[in-house]
Amino acid sequence: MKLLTFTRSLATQAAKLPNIKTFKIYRWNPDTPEIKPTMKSYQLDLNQTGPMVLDALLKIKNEQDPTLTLRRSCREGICGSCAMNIGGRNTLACLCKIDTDSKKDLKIYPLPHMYIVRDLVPDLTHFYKQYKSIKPYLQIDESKLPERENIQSVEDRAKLDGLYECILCACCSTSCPSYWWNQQEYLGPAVLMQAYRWMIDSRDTATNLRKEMLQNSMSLYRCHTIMNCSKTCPKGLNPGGAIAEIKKSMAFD
Amino acid sequence: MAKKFSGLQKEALTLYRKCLRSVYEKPVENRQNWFSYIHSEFNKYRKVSRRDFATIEHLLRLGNRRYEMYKNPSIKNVH
Amino acid sequence: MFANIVRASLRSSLSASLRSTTLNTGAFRFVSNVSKDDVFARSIAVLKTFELKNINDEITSSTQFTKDLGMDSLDYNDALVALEEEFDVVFDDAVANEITTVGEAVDYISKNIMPEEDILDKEIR
Repeated sequence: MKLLTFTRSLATQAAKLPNIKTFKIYRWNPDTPEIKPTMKSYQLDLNQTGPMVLDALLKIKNEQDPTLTLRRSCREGICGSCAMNIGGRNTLACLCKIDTDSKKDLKIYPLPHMYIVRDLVPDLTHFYKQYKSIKPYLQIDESKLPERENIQSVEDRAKLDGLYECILCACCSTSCPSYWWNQQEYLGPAVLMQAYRWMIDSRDTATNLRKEMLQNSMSLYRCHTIMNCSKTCPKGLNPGGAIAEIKKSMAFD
Repeated sequence: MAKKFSGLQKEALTLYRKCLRSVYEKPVENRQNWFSYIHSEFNKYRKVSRRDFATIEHLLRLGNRRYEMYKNPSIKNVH
Repeated sequence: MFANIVRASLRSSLSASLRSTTLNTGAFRFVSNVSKDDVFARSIAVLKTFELKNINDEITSSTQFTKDLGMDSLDYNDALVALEEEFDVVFDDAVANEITTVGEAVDYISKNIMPEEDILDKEIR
């Protein structure tokens, strides 16, 4: 009996042993723009922290440094707010597990090559403007308006799978070197995948207009099939593949 | 004044003039508030070094964004 | 702040009175351009509403905004925009960044000012 209690206490002790990991986080304050961005270190006991990077960030914000600024909302990978560069990879903090190896520091930056609003918050204004520019909504000729429901066959609907799930977190676009260098003109993988999503929608009649809009050297053809987009997508989508499909469909136009 | 302005300085002055011009689109009784606001915002960063490009570029972006926002005719006054 | 308000009201009343004198002289009304002297006089009236370093010195066309009037680049752009408003002209960005003397500003205004009749026409339209 005594022995049993002893072993049990050993086991709990082992579990309670603190596992301290260092998080290095990008900090920049717009109120003092002349002070350059810095990396600030925070220590957390992983045994006291949730499993995801977002849990760690919120724990730091709650308990150590309330000035740490980040976007987050759904904490389950559907809103796309907490997109950031974690350990060198663009992903959603809420879907990214913390590496429990406490010997390695974890570096967290905002999405790369974006203007920063503060700390981990990038300015996505231009990204959203680009999204708006592809008219991401159903366009139908007046003459072709159906009298009742706008019906789509099961096969046609299936074509949208793998496209409509995009939450516009901007992880893919901001991982793309082409987008880094030509952000003003090149639309980037996220927006192009949505352009494709509307092109192949069987109910949409503006397909040719949509193609014409991309028929220039910058909007689409800055994609050089680098495929960082598909590699980084936290939702497991394939923007690079979608862009290839657009290129194929426009090859003989 | 023989020295020419650098590109960034020109951009800053252009923004400054744009801001001042837009004041005349605002109601007469509030123009003084707008002038004071513009002066105080630009005065805040008078000491920024002319070589601190990153900061100046950031401030120019910020200033242009704010200009775009405030020039909206539905915004009449500033405090 | 109070000084500013005085300055602003002074500016508008001054320019209004000056404008009425030009209109009264009548002779210029049928000339395609407002005379340069006239522009100069009205410009100085506008400049006097600002805080200047040597307030009592006479302002001539070779007076430099920075050196003689003690204005920095922001201050004299304030003055330029006030002049724009007075004469209903707009300084090109390239020009505005090059202007150093009162004379240069007056020259530009004289060249680009719209005759009073045209302004009236524009307002009617």
